[in-house]
Amino acid sequence: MMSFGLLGFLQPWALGALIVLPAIWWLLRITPPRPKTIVFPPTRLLKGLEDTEQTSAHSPWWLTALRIIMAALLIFALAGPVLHPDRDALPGSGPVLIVADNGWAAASGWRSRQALIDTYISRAERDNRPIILTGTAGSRETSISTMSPQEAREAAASLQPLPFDPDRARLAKKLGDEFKGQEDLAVIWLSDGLDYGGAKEFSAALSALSGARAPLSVALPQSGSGALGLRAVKGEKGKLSAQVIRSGGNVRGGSIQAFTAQGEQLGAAPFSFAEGATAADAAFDLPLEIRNQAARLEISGETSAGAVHLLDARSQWRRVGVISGEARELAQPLLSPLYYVERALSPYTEVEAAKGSNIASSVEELLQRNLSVLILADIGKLVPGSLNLIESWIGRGGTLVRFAGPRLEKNTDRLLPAELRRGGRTLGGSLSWSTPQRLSAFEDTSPFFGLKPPADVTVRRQVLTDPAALRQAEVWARLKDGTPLVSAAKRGDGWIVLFHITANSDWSSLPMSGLFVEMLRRITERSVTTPGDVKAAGGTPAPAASPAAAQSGLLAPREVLDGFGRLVAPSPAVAPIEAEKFKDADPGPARPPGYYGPASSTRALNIIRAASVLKPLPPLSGQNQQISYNVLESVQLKPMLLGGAFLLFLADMIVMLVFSAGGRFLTMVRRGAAAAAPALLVLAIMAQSAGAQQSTSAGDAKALEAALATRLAFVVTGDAEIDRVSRAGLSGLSRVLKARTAIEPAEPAGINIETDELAFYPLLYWPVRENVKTLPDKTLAKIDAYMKQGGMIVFDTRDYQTTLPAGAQGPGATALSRLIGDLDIPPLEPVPENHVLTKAFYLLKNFPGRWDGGALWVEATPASDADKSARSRRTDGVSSLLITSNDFAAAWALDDTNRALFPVVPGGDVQREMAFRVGVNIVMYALTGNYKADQVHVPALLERLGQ
Amino acid sequence: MADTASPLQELETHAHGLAARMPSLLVAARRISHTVAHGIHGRRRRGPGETFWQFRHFEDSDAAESIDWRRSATSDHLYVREREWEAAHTVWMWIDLSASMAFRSHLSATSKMDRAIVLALAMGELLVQAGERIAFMGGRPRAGRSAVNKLALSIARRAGDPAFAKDSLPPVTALGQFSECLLFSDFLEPVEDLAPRLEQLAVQGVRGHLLQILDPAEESLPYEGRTEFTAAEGAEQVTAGRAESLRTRFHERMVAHRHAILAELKRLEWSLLVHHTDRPAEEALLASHTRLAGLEHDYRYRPPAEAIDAGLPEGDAA
Repeated sequence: MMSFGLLGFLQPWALGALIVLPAIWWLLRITPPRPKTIVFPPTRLLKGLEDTEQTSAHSPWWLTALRIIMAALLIFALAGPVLHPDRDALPGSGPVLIVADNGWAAASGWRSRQALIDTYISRAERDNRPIILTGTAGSRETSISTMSPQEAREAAASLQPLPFDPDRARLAKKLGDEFKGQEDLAVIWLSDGLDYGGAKEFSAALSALSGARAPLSVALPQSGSGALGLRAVKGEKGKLSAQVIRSGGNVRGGSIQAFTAQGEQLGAAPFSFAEGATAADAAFDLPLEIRNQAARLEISGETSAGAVHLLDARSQWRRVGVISGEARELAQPLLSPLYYVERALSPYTEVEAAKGSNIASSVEELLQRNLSVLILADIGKLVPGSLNLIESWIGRGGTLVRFAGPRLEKNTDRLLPAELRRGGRTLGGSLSWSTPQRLSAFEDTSPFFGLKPPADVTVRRQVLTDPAALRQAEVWARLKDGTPLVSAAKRGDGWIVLFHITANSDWSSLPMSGLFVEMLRRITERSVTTPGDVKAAGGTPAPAASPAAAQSGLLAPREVLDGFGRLVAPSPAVAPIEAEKFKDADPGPARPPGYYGPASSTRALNIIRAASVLKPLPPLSGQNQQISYNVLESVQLKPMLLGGAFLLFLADMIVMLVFSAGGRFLTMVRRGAAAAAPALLVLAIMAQSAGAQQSTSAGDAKALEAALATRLAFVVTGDAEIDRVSRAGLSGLSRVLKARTAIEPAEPAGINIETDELAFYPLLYWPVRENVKTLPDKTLAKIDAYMKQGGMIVFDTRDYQTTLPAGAQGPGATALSRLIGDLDIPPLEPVPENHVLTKAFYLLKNFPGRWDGGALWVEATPASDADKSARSRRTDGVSSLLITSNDFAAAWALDDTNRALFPVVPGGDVQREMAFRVGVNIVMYALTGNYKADQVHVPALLERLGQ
Repeated sequence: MADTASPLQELETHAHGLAARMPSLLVAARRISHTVAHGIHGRRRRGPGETFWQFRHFEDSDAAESIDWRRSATSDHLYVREREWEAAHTVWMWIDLSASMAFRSHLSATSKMDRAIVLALAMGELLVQAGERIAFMGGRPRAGRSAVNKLALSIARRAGDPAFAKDSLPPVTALGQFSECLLFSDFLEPVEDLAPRLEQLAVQGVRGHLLQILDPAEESLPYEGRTEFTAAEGAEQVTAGRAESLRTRFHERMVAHRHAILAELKRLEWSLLVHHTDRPAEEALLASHTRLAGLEHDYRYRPPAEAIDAGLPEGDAA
């Protein structure tokens, strides 16, 4: 074995073959690839041409280089190179003691720890030294004994991180006892980089074992990759937030993921540490209902029990509705009945206050919002509607909390735990013997059990329950004299809780105490998150559900975390935790973090508590040597080098193929290109269709343009000449309209009847081509809808006078019947006398266009109201189509200098003027409807007005 | 000779077939209104012959028998009827039988030599049919049906003769005055070598027609990649790194070479036809036929149709 820096060689003598490389180079250089030989009669003519190319007759330099590299790779591969060869020796001469921190903090880098342990076992094996392997965390029974390398490997494989803090002091003591006086151990401490207290002493103890000559080796995680701890905190407004803590280090970031109890991911929140920061916050932005489903938070990528935070019902966020019988006194907020309640609830619930003073509507409104708890402060009697509403909500699992007050004292309804006696009692008044009462300690059946009533809380006045009726209810809190202060009764799935005092400080000082906050919190915590799905919520408000546990006050483990932060079934060694001590319980071998307690109200025990701080290892005293976890594993490079040589060989083959195939290869390439041509064609088509999509947006632009200004529109027939005349005609008419009327149309638009949206155009001019084709059904439906929704189409067959006798059905009419024959066309008639079209703007008698004489057909006016078709009623009696044969557009067509483009027949300015008037009337008719028709009533109206 | 006979027979058969198709080809080409009057060539001068040439006044030196009495009887003078001098031509043929002619590239179905032999035999067939005398250069001119066979035999004999096969230049032999020679070769030898030979032939008063038969590959150099070119005769060798890069310049040289030959021929008033072996043999046959008959100067001559033109590249001129 020979080594140079990072590289070592197993067979260094093979490197001697590198000497032959120059020889190979020389050989390759002077031996050009064998050309193909061709007997070619006019070779004489080629003579002298090849001079410029002669150099390339040699194999190109890069090909030679490629082959040289190939040869070099082969030689290196044969030499058996190893990257990062393990060359370190162990200090000392006695057994090798490997102490691994296997608390939760070691879990996320466990693989590298195991690799390091393995490395040291290998080294010990190399030196033929026995091994002692032990973890700092773990049960007390772990024996410490020397092992053979094989046993040590097995032990290392079975060494697992544990979900609690390591107990280094215990181990130090044990080791001290075991190896008393021995000073020749090689001691390696694989630390997790955290100080749980006493790290210094521990390292001192280890140093003592390794003796004076050899230093203690301490493996530390890299700065910035130390253990992370996660705890959930309640952010403002009940947002689910988390805090990530660490012992310090570089800038670091990551994300926290929230999961439901079923393991579905709810969301992720990023966090980032600044340089040297030890805490970083992250907040989830989740709706309340979803936020409450979160059961577990995890730092993604960190597989340790400390990077998992379990949530229980206490961290769920409930919505509480509060309604007061009194109008809120904004001037004196401290006297407001709900002031203390809202203050007490707002840190951990979402408080919904009633908006108005109408209690009935407030109840209705609040109950629609998935309340968990409804608090009614001093509301005596609810209206029956609200009563029923609340009652059914309680039946579904709602918790109603009522506070007493003057109104409740006088007047009650049935929503109480027990019937009240009329009138309350006053304690400590000027006319009373009694003094204000204190609270007695909470009984163990009470949900408030465990809370300590402060001595200074007194009750001056309360409402009293009928003692006979009290049997139906539970008493959760009593005064010293035994009278109930808080009584409760279960109704359906829900609860009614009554505080026998007011919600403000009128009757007692309880609302001002911290106890009040805790009491309300307990009540909300045991409430169903979302009444109506009790089972889904999982938490039934039933302390009596496991009376034994409640009585014994023991919370049995349900699921616990293993060292990697996975929830597993608890081992038999895990002991239950006393309920009252749960809050202060620290995870340990007997109580790993996890869920404890009955299914209905599990409590979560987490490694990282609200007050947890991760401290880095202090500078260690004594002789020690720091090592890194990033032990570079020895890597055999031989396969890689051989693979590289093989790849180069393949490349060389391809190059040779190309060289020897020469023209044929190029032909192949060309053929390939030819084969690719269809693919290119497909691409081109796709590009075109992309273009079509772009034209859709162009269609949108057109729609936008059409919607922004009123404009006349014509149907594009496909005949360029007809379309040109249509455009010129409508343009001319637009100019006339602008000059003479209040209508200021924009430039006319050409419409593709099959693809364009029609809704923007009030009037559609449709010149009918003689060879027009029948329209597809879809288009017909569109036209029909357009006409029925108030659009007007002017069909112009333009064929008057092309037929003899005049008036006979011309080719245009045939075409028109082909075009719209399938449409739902109402009966038509020539414009009758007094039709609105004759007086919409100008008074007209006939309707000339370029030709004069063709009739203008409109929808027949119904003889009586009963005959009025649905259509004419919808469209206000305005004809949805006009049919002419007079070629309006040609008569209206003007050029840029306002000169007519076409002569009118029989002719004269009068006819053109009349044609324009027809156009104005039609547009007016289309835009104003039958408004002019109403003018006939003007005299009657005036007469009725008495003028 | 035995081993060359049987392929040669095939070629002969081919040539017969070619020649047999010739008249119909002429008709099909519709470019000559009458079949070429071969053989008994009018010499455009008086002399022994059968065709009337002119009447002229009797001179004292004329024999009395030469007087045309019928013509003389119509006037007061004596007239002599003169006939045009007609004589059968001798057409000498030579085929380059050197190794370079054996070349055949992948672009062509036949070697140059095969094509040259076919054309020579077919030409001979046509000439013999027209009454001409034909001979391989250095042989004895013959007429009649057996002449073609004799021609084939001499080709076979010479193909078997290594001394002859080495020479890719036409031999200098004594040819009769006013005879014609048809030279089939690829004419790839340097013009400096070729020109003296042609000169020596031309000074004998021989009219020559060169038919340069080339493989298409020799025109276009359709090779790519690293290629070693070896001359068919001689030890010339050229190794090209990328043969395709030589293509343009090679073509230029080829054209320049051909122009050099043409310049030489122009001086001698000889003609050159270029034929590529990937074209049908009929084309070359028809073209050289026309050349031999001198019909391209005829007012009835029309430039060849496109299909035929393609076989006669830019070098074609005379």
